[in-house]
Amino acid sequence: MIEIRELHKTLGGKEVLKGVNLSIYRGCTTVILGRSGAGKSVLLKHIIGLILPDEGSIIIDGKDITKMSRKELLGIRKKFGMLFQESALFDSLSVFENVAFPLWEHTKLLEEEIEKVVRDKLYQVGLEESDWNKYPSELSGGMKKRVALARALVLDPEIVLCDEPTSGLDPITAFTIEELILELQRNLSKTFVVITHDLKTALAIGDRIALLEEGKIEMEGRVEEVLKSGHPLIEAYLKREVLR
Amino acid sequence: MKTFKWFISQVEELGGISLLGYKCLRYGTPFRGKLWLKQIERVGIDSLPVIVLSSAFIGMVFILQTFYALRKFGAESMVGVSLALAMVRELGPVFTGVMLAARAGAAMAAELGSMRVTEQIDAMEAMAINPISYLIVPRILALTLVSPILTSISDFIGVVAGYAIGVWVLEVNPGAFVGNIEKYVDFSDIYYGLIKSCVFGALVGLICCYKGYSVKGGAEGVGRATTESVVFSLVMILITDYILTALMF
Repeated sequence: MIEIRELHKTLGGKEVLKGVNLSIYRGCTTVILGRSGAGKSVLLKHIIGLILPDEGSIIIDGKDITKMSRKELLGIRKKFGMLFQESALFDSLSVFENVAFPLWEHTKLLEEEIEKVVRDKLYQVGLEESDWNKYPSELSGGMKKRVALARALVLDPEIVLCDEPTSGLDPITAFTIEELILELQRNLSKTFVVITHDLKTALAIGDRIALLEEGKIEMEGRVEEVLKSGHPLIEAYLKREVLR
Repeated sequence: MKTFKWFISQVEELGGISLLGYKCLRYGTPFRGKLWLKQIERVGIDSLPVIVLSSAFIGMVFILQTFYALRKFGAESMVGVSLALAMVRELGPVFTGVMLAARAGAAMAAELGSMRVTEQIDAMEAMAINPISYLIVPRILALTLVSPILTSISDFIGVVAGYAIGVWVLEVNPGAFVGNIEKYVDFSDIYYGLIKSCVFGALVGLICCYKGYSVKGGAEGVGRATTESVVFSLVMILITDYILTALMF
C-alpha cells in the first residue's frame, strides 16, 4: 500500500534520513520504533507529503507522491488522518469544532449530519458530552489526544498516522490510548502507522515493527520476528523493559 | 562580513515575503468570505480606538507646532490647510500603517507563529486544507481593505482635532481654516493618500503573515518573529512611502 524507497533527507545540515526503505501493508498497524532523534517524525511527515525528500520515492497506491503537483498531493492527503505528537488542536476552536472542522472543509453535509458524525466520533474515543464545548487549553494531555484522534478519524481515512500517541502521558492514560487505537484498528480495519520510542506501546498495538536507527530502517517484520531477531537495539529495549 | 551576512539575510527575507505574495495570488482560492469578514472585524474594530486617539493627538500637536512657525510669517490662516495636506498625504496613511503593524500585524505574527510551533499549520496541511487560503489570504485582504477606511477616519479625526485646537485655543479664524482647506486640498491628495494606505496595509499583512508563518524554534522564535514583523513593517512602510510620494506627488 505504501512503499518507501531510498528516502534521503538533510535538515539543517544534518542527514536525518539516510536511505529509508519500508513497506507498509494495508489493514495492519506498522509501528516505527526508534530512539529520539532517529528521524521518526521526519519520516512520518514525508509519508503525508508535509516534507519533501531530497532523494527517493514514496509510493502510495501505485503513485509516487514526491512527483505530485500540489493539487494532487492535497487529494492524496484526504486518504490520511494524522494524530500529532502534541495533538495540534486548533486553539481558537472548541473540542466539537475541532472535530467538525475537516467535515466543514471537505464535505457538503448538512449541519445536523455533521453534528451526528462528530457526536459518534467523540463517543467512539470516549469523550464525555460535558467536555465538547471546552477549548484545547482546558483539556488534559490524554483528552487532547482523544480529540485529536477523533479529528483524525472523522473523514473516515484509509490510513491513520500517529506521531508518538502516548508520549508525555502517564502510564494509565497511555494504556487507555493504546487500547483505544487497538480497538479502532480492530473495529475499523484501517491501516495505522504509529511512531514511538516506547517498546511497550509498539508491542501493545503493532502488527509489524520497523526499527529506525540513525536514519535507516535496521530491521522490519512481524512483532514476533522482531522480538526473536536478537538485534542489539531490540535486546537493549527488552532489557530496559525487564528492569522496569 | 557581519554587514554582508545581515544584508544577505534581509534579501532572503524580501525573497520569502515576495514568494508568499506569489503563493497568495496562485493558491489564494477558494475565496473565504466568512473568514475575511471575521478578520476585517478583528483588524478594523480592534485598531479603531488607538487610531482615533493617536490621530487626534497628531492633529493637535501639528497645529501647535505649525501655528507658531507660520505666525512668524503672518500666515496663521494657512495652518488648517497645512494640517489637512499633511494628514491626507502623509500622516494619515503612515500613522495608520504604523498602528496597524503594531496592533493587528504583531497579533497576526504571534498567532500564526504560535500555530506553526504547535504544529497546527501542519495539521491543517495534513487535512488537505491549504493554510495560504485559510489563514494568510483573509488576513492580508482584511488589512488591505481596512487600511484606507481607517486612514480616512484618521484624516478626519486629525483635522477635526486640529480645528478644535486651532480655532478654540489658538484663535485662528474658522472661516480661513476651512476655506483654505477647500481651496488648496485637491481630491487627488486624498485618493493618493488612500492608495498609499492600501499599499501599506498589504505590506503589513504580507510581512507579518510571513514572519509568523515561517517561525522556527519555540516560544522564543514566536517572540522574535513578532518583534521583527513590527520593525520590518515600519521600515518597509517608510521606504515605500518615500518611493510612492516621489512617484505620486
